[in-house]
Amino acid sequence: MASSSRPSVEVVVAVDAAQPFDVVVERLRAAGLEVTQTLPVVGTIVGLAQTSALDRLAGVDGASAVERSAEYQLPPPESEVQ
Amino acid sequence: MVQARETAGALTGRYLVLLPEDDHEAGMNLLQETAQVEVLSSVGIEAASDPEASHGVFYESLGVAVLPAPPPERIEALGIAAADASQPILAVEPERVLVAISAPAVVGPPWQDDASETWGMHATGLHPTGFDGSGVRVAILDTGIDLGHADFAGRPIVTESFVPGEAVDDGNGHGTHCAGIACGTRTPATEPRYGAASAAALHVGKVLSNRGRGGDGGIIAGISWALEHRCDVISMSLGAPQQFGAPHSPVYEQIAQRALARGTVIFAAAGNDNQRAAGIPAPVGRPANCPSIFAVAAIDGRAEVADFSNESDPNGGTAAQVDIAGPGVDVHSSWPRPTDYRSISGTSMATPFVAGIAALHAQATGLRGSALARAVIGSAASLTPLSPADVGSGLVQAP
Repeated sequence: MASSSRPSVEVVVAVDAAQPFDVVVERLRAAGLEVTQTLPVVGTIVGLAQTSALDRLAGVDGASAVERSAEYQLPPPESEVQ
Repeated sequence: MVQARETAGALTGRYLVLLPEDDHEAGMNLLQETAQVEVLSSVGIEAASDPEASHGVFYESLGVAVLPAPPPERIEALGIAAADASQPILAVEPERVLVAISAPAVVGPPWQDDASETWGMHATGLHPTGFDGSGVRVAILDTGIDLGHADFAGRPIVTESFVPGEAVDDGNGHGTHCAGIACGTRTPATEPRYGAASAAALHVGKVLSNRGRGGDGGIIAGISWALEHRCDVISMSLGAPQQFGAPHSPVYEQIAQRALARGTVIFAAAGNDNQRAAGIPAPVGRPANCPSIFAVAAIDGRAEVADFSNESDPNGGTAAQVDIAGPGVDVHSSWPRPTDYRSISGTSMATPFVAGIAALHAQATGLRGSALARAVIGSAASLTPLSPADVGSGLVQAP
């Protein structure tokens, strides 16, 4: 896909177990996901996408859930509570 | 508070009823009609673990209802329903004693570290147990591990880093601390002893950077790696704060269901966002708020819930509930050299405690997946009068 700006957010996609995993990967690519990891063991695809593409990805046949990746941050190592 | 042990295997008089995963509601309706007893969800009630309660309690994340001593004809009727494949009751069995619920307290609280063992080992019955996690695989998904630490050097540890540009070596400390709590050696270079499953096959997946930062992509890749390595228990001392009423992640829920189906139980930290003293509550974080991921709260050496330990979300459905508690205040464990050892607090510490003890239950019972989770959660020591909304079924206990 031609795109003038780089994909900006990490996205995690749950794949419907009843659908062929590799086929869903290709559908997501076609819908604008730059796939970075395919994890068939857990039925999940990780990738990068424009925020504007999230609705389109959620509509892909075989994508049972599409979420923006959450960020996790531990407190500093010197903290008493971690 | 925490009661004495009794012979394992004795019957409590209560009954466990397993309902179908995909239709709890139909199962609950049939159960209440057949047993003629009210059954409440474990979420949002004050005394789910009260042994004197006249109502039943349903633990949705396990799909299991606990009934208070039903009369024999009701048990028989439940058995008939369970034998009928078309009915939404899958199994009925008597509850067995792992920790007695009526005897007076014999050992603590309060618990304290002594020269040979940490307070958490006393509180969870790790000292007398003969189990060490042999044959069980435990994965710690965190900031990595100090492989050269005296207490880990020479031990076979399976490692992988999912942090771009960083090796599995722990430049933070958090991961080494958590790995020590879950799987630390029986004979540390410097006492006291602090690890639960000293002979478990330790797997360390680095999913958080040396700066303690990570994202779902790396964490999920770590879970996938742990499943590929057939780990029985996964410990995740990480979480993102949530608002009350926020939905759980369907992506993580699907992953956790697949893990359970493969025989792998995931424990995750409930989170440290609560400010109880200040009256500012916080619910279980992501991803521990998923129904199929087991959320761990933190208690201290006086058997009180930690001020920071997140609580169940009464508006979050069955998902956002605390499932069990572990020692999580002033927990002594390994830290990267040259510090070697540190004592810190958090649901991050309580989680590997529960995961390590789960490995002992896996070794002791041969159970895996949902059945293992049920055994671990069901054998916790009651922390009444603390609310199940804060501590789930109670304090984890070694088999």
